[in-house]
Amino acid sequence: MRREHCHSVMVAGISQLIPVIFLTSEHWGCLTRFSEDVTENFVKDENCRSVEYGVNAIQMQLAFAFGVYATSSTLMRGDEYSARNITTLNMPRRQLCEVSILGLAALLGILLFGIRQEGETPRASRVWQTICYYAIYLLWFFFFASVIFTSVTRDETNRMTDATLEEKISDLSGSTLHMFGKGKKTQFRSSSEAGALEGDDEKLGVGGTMSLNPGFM
Amino acid sequence: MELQETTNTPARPPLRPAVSVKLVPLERCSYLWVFLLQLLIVATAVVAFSYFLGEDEHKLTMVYMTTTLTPFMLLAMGSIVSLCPKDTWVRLSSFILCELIFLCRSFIYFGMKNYPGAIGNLMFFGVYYLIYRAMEKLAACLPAKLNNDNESLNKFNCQTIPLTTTGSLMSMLYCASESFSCLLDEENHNDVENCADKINSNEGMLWFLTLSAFAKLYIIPHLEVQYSVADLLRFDLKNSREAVLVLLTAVVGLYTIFVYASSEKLHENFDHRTNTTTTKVVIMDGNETALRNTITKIVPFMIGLVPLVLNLSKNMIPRFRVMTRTTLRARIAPIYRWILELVALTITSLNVYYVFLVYTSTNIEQEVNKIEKWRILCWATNPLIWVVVTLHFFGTPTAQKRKENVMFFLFSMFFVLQTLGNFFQAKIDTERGETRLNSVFVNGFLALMVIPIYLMVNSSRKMLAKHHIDDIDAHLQRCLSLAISIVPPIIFLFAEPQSCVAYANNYKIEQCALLRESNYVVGGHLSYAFLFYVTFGYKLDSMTKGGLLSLQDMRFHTVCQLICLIISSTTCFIVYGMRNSELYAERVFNDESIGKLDEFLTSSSPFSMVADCWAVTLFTQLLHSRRMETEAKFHRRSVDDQKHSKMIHRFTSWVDQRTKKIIEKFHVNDDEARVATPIRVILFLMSISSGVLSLFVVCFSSQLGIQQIYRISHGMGSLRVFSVVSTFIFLFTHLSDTLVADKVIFLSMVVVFGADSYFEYKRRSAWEANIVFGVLASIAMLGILKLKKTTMKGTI
Repeated sequence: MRREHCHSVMVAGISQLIPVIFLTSEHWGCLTRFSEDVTENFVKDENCRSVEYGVNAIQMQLAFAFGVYATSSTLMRGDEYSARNITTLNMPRRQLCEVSILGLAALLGILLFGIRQEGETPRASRVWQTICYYAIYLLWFFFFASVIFTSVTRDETNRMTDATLEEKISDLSGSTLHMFGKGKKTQFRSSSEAGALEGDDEKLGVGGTMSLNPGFM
Repeated sequence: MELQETTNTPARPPLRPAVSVKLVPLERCSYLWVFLLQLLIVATAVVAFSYFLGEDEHKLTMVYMTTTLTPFMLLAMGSIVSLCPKDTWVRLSSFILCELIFLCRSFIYFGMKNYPGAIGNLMFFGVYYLIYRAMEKLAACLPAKLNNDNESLNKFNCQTIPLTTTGSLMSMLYCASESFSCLLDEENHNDVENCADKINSNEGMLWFLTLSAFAKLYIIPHLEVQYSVADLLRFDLKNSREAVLVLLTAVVGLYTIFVYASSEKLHENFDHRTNTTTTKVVIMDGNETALRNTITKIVPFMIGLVPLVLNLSKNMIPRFRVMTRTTLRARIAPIYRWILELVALTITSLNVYYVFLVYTSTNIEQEVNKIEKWRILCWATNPLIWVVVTLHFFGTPTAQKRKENVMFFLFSMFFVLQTLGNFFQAKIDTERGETRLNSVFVNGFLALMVIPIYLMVNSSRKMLAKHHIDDIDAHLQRCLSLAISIVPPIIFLFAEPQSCVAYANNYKIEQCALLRESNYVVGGHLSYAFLFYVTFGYKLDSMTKGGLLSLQDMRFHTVCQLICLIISSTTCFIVYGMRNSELYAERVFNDESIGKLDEFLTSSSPFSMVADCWAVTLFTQLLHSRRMETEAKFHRRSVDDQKHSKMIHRFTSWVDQRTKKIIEKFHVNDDEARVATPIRVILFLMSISSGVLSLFVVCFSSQLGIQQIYRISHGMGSLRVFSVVSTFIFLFTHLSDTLVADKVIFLSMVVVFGADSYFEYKRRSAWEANIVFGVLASIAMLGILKLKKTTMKGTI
């Protein structure tokens, strides 16, 4: 699992780095050309601002999207964003909002990338570009906030469910408890540790032990 | 005991009830999507009708905006009909609005006294009704076509339609934003007609993207057979109508790319930076504009032909289908061979004409310029001829190769003709004489290099022919897929600088050098990659992703190839990113110095770097293949003394052994969830690069030049993203342990944001915002480090 995730992240990362290199070089090319006209230190840049906005609008979204992908195994939310779920609106409202936010950010990014140009831009379009650029940051901030909030809430709910279940089990009679592993204290874990539990189960499965099945006791 | 015996008895599998898939009710979701799509149609209508209300000076802008938005409207309409085959009112209301827009467009053109445009839109008003009826019919009969299989219908409704619409919308938005960018440009604010060609060319691409979406929604699902790459390889299509349709779509696609890439402004203003004057240069005069207009208007006409072909008889030219396809395996269809031969012949004819032109011309400036334009055009076809000749040579690996040899002869003729042309041009073109003489030597060398290249591909072809027919067929299928995916970019790269060169009457051809050379580098990279894959691709099957990342599949030649591939690809992407610059054109126009960067980019150095890398890649692979072949002979013949007779094989064998020993030290065991250390070292350096660089600038700002500080301080934003992506890769490619390096990277990121705030403070900008952003980013980074710890608890 982890090994496969490492390899997937590496391959996906390299495919993300390629456009990032292209976009970075576009911005640096513009800066290098206009740097010859610069006469004093730490001046504001008006000539490559449009290029910077256009390039960064795509770049940072690639970085953010890759960040979400790299941590997806931990968040365990990859399967919830399927095309079918999105189309049929078969997902909670918060997730629908997340998808809408991502869609809007992608549209703004493509628009900014398309209208980029070197040289000074008119004030009106510069203002619009600045607004769109920071709007992308804001949208992604909302997305991450929502993702973290959902994960925290889910962990909290799982913990509460686990606690309730443990309480119920402790109320069971001795013979029933015996069925769940000869009175050994059962460990309940949160959903974030489910991977580890699965691993343990797999190991048990390999050995052919059937002690988990109460029918064979 | 009894219980055990019972368990050992094979159990009878329980009878499962047949699983019935329910049709996903689309009412709830479709209304939302339809609402959004209708919003798009309404937006187009608002822009179109505002023509009648707006001021006179903005009317043309409204016309161009409507032109750009019309394909979006049609895409929305197509998706609506597909989404709501049962909801007549929704479809009809959208349809009526679309028809009104066409009527409005017709009035607009009539008002502008553009009568062909007005008649064309009026005609489309009627044609659109037919298209709408056809769409309705096709959408209604789709369930029957899919045998009322709910699973397939769900897949079409919930995946195919939304993904097609969204994907097309994204690509179209990029095309449209280029048009909007031209309209918003201050230079064109009071002269939007300057963008006419750009808008028309982009419109062509928008129509083509709409056509692709329509094909996915209305043509492909209704085909009698769903084709695979194997069918395409043999061009084994169900009937001659489909064969014509595929060919026509391919031609339309390539033509659209050509027109889209070669769009130009009608005139350009070049600022003189020293005496602050501006020169207005006419790029296209009246005749050229009219010709270009005709070229761009052919695109919608050709696109319109595609649905018309659908109305023709299925077996309209039965002989055509028989002639173009093959039933044999392990070979490409005759139609591809004809196309490849035609392209090679055309390229050779262009070169012959170039030599003829240069041989018969005199030393007049206009003629010299014309010859230079022809030379550039012919030389730019170089990446294409590599692809064409390679694919043709490997097209029939098990058959005789007379035609293939002729094609290789044409390939060598390309360089011979270039040598001759450059030689004659050097005599008459005094200004470019020295450069042309250099080209004579380069082309002569390349003409000689065709011989070893032929020997290499020939030996590889023989080796491929010895493989099983299934392997050959699979390799050819992969080659065809690769060719289909790289030919459009090569055409784009070829066409983009050609318009700049072709219209260079009132400005210098050298102004196009940056774009031309950069595109040539990328085109060359793609064609060499294709050559490598076609020649040796069938030997790369044994390599796996896991094996490469844990260095278990690494040999000496693989290491060389990976290094060369990284250098070559990085060079290409850097060059491609820097290829467009109005400042460069202005400097050349005003005879100012162009700067070191542009000097480097317009020189032959980037291309040499890419070509050398691919030469090493091909050479190492060839040596390895030959050595492996000899070693295989040892095994087959059970030779006791397994020593290579050739010195080069003995040497490479020794190097391979040594490399293997070194690499073994970095092998990753199967119980470790990480990639190999050398790869991670590179990732670590990439991750901390922006931190180190910004720290360096902060510490040594007094010793750095003004230009260096300007570049680094402003470029840190883009470089930071590069480091962030590298950081993510670094963190999540070692899930076995927490490392000190993780914390170093975290510190590096903090340094970057700190330095950025320092730069903003120095520029008297809003540095506080940067601090806030840095703090947020640092918190996010700490969260990610925590997430990594959680991930490490998972199974290996």
